[in-house]
Amino acid sequence: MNKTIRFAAAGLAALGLFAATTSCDVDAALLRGATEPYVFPPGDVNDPYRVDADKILQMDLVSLADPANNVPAATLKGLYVGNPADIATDTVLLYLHGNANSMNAFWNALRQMANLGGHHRYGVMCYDYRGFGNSDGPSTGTASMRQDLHAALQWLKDRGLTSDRLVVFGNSLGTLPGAQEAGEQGGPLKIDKLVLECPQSNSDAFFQDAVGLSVPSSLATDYAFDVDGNMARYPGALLWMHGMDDDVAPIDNAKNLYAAHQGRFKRAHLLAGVGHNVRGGWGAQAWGDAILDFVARVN
Amino acid sequence: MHKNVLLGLVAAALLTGCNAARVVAPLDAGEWRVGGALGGPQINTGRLPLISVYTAHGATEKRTDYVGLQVVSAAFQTLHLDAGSLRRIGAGGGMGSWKPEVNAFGGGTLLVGLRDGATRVYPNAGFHTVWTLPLGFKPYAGTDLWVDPTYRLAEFNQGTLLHPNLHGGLRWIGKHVEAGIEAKWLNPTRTFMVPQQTVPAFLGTGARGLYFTLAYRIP
Repeated sequence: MNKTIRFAAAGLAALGLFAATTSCDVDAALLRGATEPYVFPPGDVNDPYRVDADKILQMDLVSLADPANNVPAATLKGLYVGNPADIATDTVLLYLHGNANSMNAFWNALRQMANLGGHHRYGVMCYDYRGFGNSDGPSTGTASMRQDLHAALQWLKDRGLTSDRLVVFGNSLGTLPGAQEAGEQGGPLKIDKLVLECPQSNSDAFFQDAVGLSVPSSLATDYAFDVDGNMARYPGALLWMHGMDDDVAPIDNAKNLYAAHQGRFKRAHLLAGVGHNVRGGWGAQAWGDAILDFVARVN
Repeated sequence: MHKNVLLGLVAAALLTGCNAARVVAPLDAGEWRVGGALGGPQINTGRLPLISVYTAHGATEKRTDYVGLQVVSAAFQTLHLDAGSLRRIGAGGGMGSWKPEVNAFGGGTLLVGLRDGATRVYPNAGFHTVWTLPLGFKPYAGTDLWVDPTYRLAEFNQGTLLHPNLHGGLRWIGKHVEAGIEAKWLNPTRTFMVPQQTVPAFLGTGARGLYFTLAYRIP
């Protein structure tokens, strides 16, 4: 009997040690891309979204440390489609990409954006978060994502962009830092025009959809994102696009962020028969028209 | 992209009733049983290898108490304990009889997040009907009802108070070892959504789990 109790106590102690010395976190999977060579082909003359080869600029961005949140400095890989010299006068769309290995997966959307309403009408910027593509890693949550977005905003500001010509576009995972910054407005440029494509709602809802119980997300991750709360604080214009058959970011949850937003303008496109890939499901033309219409209305 | 396996893993660990039954029939009075369970709900085409450990003690001939710990949750900085007591409420017809022994159980699951101290308690109760076959085999079936007393804390009013599940399995009880396999229909009152993963349902709802258990008997 005593032997049994000792055995059980030793087992529990071993498990306690295991728990104390491991720090698995769901965000290790949510916030992880993969290293791969960047491939940004400009397209041929018959390609409606063709871009000029000399208007594809890859650059390094310096994402600053945030010691208070244990975030070190990092070098990010960024991409600008357009002439950087025109940033001082152009409208620029900053694209915050979704959960994929790198920016490569979003190249078609980026070059279409550059050609909305005319060949190279808009400048388009994208970057890989820490741990995605060839950026230093890893991303660790709201603080690292905030620093990375600020790095991109700083790069644009240094070249003359002002807030009134900035449109921030968040796709899926990218809606988390995009909405966060829109709610906080603490970066080098204020966000006044925001597009959220298939956004998540908040980390608790995200986790509860998977678990089925009233468990808080802190049981599995320290990445406490809150798109709803940030939309309630965001005073600017909002365009929300969401597939009604989205099984990654449930539309019923996302409706709450749209309801929470009380800013100066908002428009929603809720798309029947469309899943998480809005551009693919809705069609690139309709997708581009919706963005173009939004930019025209709120500029 | 299918990169959210970690979320699936944690979700699977925390899914309602996501353990094999610790015991299905009372142990001998004074007996200890120390064991583990491996298995979990199906995610995509595979099953996530959740591991839990437990110990059970035969308090009397009719009552057994047990406590278990989910190892995967511990790795994610969450203390995840279950404890309960099982009591025989109906004697079976004996070896080879169609009349099953009926054992009721009740207890709860405690979750404590080590990141921020977030705590949840989920009481549960249910019963096993157990048949006794030759050579130590005991097929069983039963149900387990979880209660979510904090369901109103769920986001967007999507919580529910009651979370039932059904199970069936087979235990083999030898002189020193107990081994078992158990299938579960988890929470048929709702559907589960793990982003970028598929959680196969049973009859169009809930989730389905498969578990293996192994325990050492200490008289």
